[in-house]
Amino acid sequence: MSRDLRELAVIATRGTSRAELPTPAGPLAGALASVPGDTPEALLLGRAALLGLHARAGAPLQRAAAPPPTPLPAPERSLPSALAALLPALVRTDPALITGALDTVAARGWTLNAAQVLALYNQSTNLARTLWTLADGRARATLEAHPLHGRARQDEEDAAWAARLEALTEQRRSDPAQAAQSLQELWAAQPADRRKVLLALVRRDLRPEDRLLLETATRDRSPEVQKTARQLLGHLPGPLQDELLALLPQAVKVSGLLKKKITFGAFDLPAALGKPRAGQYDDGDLHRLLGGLPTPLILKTLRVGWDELEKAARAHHWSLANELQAPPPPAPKPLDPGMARARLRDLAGQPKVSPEKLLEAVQALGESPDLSAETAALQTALAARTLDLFQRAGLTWHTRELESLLRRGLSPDLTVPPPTPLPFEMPPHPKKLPSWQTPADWEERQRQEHAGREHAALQTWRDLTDTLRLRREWRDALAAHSTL
Amino acid sequence: MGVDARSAELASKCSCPSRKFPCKHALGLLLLHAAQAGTWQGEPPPPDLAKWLEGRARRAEKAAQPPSDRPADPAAQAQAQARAQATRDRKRTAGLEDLKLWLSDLVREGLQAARARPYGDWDRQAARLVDAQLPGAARQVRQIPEGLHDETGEALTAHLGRLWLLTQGWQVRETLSEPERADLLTALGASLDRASVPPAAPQVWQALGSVQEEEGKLTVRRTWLLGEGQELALLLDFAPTGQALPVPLVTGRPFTAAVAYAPSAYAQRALVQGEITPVGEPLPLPGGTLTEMQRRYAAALALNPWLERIGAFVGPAYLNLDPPGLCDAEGHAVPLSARVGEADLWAMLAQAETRMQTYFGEWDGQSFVPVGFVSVEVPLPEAAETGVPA
Repeated sequence: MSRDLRELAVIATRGTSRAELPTPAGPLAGALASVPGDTPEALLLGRAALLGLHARAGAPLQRAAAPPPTPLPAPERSLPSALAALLPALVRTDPALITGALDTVAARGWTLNAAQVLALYNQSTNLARTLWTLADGRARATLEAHPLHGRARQDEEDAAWAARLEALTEQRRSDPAQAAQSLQELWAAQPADRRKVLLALVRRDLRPEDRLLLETATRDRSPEVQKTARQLLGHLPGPLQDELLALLPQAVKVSGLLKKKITFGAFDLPAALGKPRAGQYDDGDLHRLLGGLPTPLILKTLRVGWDELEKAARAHHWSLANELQAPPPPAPKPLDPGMARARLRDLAGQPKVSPEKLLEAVQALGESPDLSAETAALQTALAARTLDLFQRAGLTWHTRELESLLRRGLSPDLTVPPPTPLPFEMPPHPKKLPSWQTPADWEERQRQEHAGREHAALQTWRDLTDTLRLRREWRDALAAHSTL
Repeated sequence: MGVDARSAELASKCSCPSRKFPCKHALGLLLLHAAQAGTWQGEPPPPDLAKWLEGRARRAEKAAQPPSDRPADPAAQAQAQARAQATRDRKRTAGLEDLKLWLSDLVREGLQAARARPYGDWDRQAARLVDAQLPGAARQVRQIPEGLHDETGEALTAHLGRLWLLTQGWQVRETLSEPERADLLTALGASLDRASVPPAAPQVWQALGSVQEEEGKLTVRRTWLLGEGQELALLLDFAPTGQALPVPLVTGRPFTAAVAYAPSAYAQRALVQGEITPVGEPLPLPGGTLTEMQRRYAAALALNPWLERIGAFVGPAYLNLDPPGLCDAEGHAVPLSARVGEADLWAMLAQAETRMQTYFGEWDGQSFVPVGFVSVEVPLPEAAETGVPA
């Protein structure tokens, strides 16, 4: 904007009743002086019109803030457009499918351009790392300042950290002494949140070799890390553990004929466990003591069961039970693949089966079972059985999980028949209805729920069919570009 | 209560206070009718219903009558039109006199004092202008509060000047040429008289993209066309908010049609006359620099001082992310409009992929709005891509 307009704006802001119009000066003086007007307001507005037009028409152009981008050569192996067109639909359908598809893209050496990377990232930010790996040179140069790049870098760091932890766990199994040394070296360079992760790793399989690290950790800046380290020292056999075990009967009193009544008494916390933080509801003498001993050892010393101790701790304060480690649930014995298949066949042929049982049977084949190896009849029966479960049980976690497994595992060439609508059957009336519900309302509700279940089944059939079609298209498109 | 089911357009009449249409009573009657149930079917309707049915039949007959069948006297029609025009002009004169006085009061008291005014004041003045058949001026009055809290007040002063120019232009309208008067009426918000647009010869055009925005209770879509002689034309479509606009032209696909420019000192707004026939070959896109765009805008403003924006090609050019701007090969830059969101900017950058491109967009003297078309990479004419959201 020009100086003349600035001056005029000052007068307009104050008002012509309080300030006088300046005499026109400068290159536009002639034009401004010729503006007609018999009052100061008319003159001001007329001049404003003239200066506004002049400013719009003659606004000076700015200098470019950055030089033009350096043109980069076209990528050598761009993803064929037929395959690229299917990627957004795969993201929408199932995260597992897009992960598989992107793995295939990477395996074939294809790259994605910036528009493809951006479109997929906008659909699912979790794909940042994979997409950045697949981006071609132009896309990387274009999207360097995009949040996608930062997210990809962060995901890369997280993945490297997870791999390091995995390697460390493995090393602790094979060479505990060397692992303890590596852990100590790693400890020094890590921030507080990662140190907590390292302590959790140590807690999983605590060994005497970790004593040095735990002693270092007791001097950590983070009070939370200090507390965990002090408690873990109590988990190692030694004088501290003996001292804590001696204190235990004083702190946790078991009484009653069946030894099921548990109360908590006063005791002096040993200095080695540190002082509880003031004002922290989940940090007290009892918290530190119970967390400072392995739970199985506490149960053995007190001769009580897990349930009684957990119940008493929760009744004392809900956070106290968090210091105890629940015994691991008994792991189900893995079924032999042949047995698992036979069970699945059996369940698929039964007239009625619960969603839980069917899901368990499918999951017994593996985490992400490939059902396409089964006979078409069994696959069709499984799909029909799942749709039937949607019709009977509606949308539940189990039915959804079943649908996900089938979407990923069934053969893409399978034709799934649509569900046959079930006739509505009025269930037996309950003996008592809530006061807000009349029998007619209840009946109407049953009808609506039936219609909802039918709709869910139909929608599931559509999703399943669409996913199989999409997988078929992806497979065919891959086959068409197999020579690339 | 009765239902008229004689035509495909069902109508019902009921004495119940239901706001649903048709009400449950009418639906019940229709269900009975569909099931052929009820003894009333063969009986004549009661007198009040018969009267209603007759009235409906009469109105339907009248509506179906073609307009050409109605008797019309050209002289009487011309007289009526002149009378209506005179009434409109009187209203507009009074409205603009009122606006003049209002603007004078505003700058006498000062814009600082105007900041304390309630929003209702601006809306009231805008409503008065709408009553005076000056919706264009009303729209500009509604925009005043947006600039009230700007520290310098320069943009608002210039905005008030533009409004003042409308009042001055109306005073001297008799001395203006026909196209200039058309521009003034357009700025005041008069709708375009389609009959006054001269017919045009068909030629090849191509849609470059469109911008859609809300203006009060209207949705406005601006569609830009490129002609085979590299001339630009702007099509405007309006629809009440919530209602659909006409089907848009496909961006980047050429067609043959008669596109006629509305009377204006700077021909830009146009109308499509007759049918649109798709043709095969896309038109070559011109390039341009920001200096040329600015020069063309200055020339356009000299012809039509109320012009808000022009369409312009800038290329080879590239986008800058921070601050958002369009830069040309000469090293000049213009800011992008605040309407261009970060996601849109990234989408355009991703389309460009480190290459210089030709951009088409709207320039209003202050900021550039890319209008949905990122052209081909300049040195390589193939591989045209579309799809920039605006």
